[in-house]
Amino acid sequence: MFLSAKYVLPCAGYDRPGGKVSRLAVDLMQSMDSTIIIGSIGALAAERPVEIKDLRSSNVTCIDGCSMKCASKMVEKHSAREFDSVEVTKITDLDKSIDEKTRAVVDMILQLWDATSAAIPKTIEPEPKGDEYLTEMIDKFILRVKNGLFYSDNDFWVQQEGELTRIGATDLLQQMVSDIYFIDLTDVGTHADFGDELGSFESTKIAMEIISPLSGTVIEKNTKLEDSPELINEDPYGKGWLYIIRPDDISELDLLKTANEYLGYGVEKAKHELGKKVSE
Amino acid sequence: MSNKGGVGSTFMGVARETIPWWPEVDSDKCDGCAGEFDCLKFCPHLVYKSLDNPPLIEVENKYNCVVFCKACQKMCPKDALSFPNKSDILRIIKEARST
Repeated sequence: MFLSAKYVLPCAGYDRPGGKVSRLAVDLMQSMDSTIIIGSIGALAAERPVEIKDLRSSNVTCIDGCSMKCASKMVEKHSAREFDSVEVTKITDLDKSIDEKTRAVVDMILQLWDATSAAIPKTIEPEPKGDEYLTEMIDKFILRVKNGLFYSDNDFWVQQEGELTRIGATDLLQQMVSDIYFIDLTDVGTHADFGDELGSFESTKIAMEIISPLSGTVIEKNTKLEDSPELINEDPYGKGWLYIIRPDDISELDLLKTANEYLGYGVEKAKHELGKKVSE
Repeated sequence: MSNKGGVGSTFMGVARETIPWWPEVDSDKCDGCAGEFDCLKFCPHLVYKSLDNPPLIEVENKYNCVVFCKACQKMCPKDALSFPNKSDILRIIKEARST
């Protein structure tokens, strides 16, 4: 999932200096950038669907008003993704006006964001940029297809990584099946032929097999999915990867679709499977 | 999910009707799950239909069946569902693609 929005969760401690400064800071930040989403610890605690969706689909920064770190703990409870956090105790303890403290918190966060954007990505998967994704709008549904991958008609992708391949589920698949809550991955060392089952997963809508998009041997499986299967929904082309496979015959990728071919196929499939019509 | 027929669609660039992938129901084993029809309830692609007196499952929309998917087979408590050999199906697809 392409994370474009910023979600800032302030401390909710009404009786704490850190809470007041946190809330003033997010108000100031939103006045500077109206696209920033101000999170609510109360809404997360109540598990309001829109709040959870905003949390999981955004870049998250917590402002912890004290060492209790309630904001960070709430985010950890509801999202498996990494997030930034700042603790403002040192600022609130300063002998300065509330406006000066508020500005200092905002500056701290902006410096953190600048440092994060300049840092070399630590993840194996590259961050999405510009034309790295093909997209198609179908009514209110956006289909995303990552360039450079190969795609099976069973809606799984293959990425070549030297002599090995990495496979996962497409954005179309994760949208069709909805929230995945359980996954059963096959063992490392398992060999599968093209079309064979490599485990299964269950979602709120369906239980389905992981159908191998190529023949080969499982070298590694994404064990993070066993505790956080929702990563497939949140980041199907990145952290939601399923297996690393040593292919039997790399020429088998000729059977698969390119990104452009899969986009066309996916649009037609989405029309049928999601009951939507393509907007002209 | 889908209520559209698989007829007219393609799989791996080949017309779906040329790929002989669909479940076979062993009517000697099938008892319709005593009227619960587990496979029919499970499959989102409307492959199956139910019969009554006695309860029994039949395949209605065979080309709706997702090629290489055998998820319903695990649902059957009587082991009454069977599928073609996947390597045979892949060979058929490859031959069709080459023509």
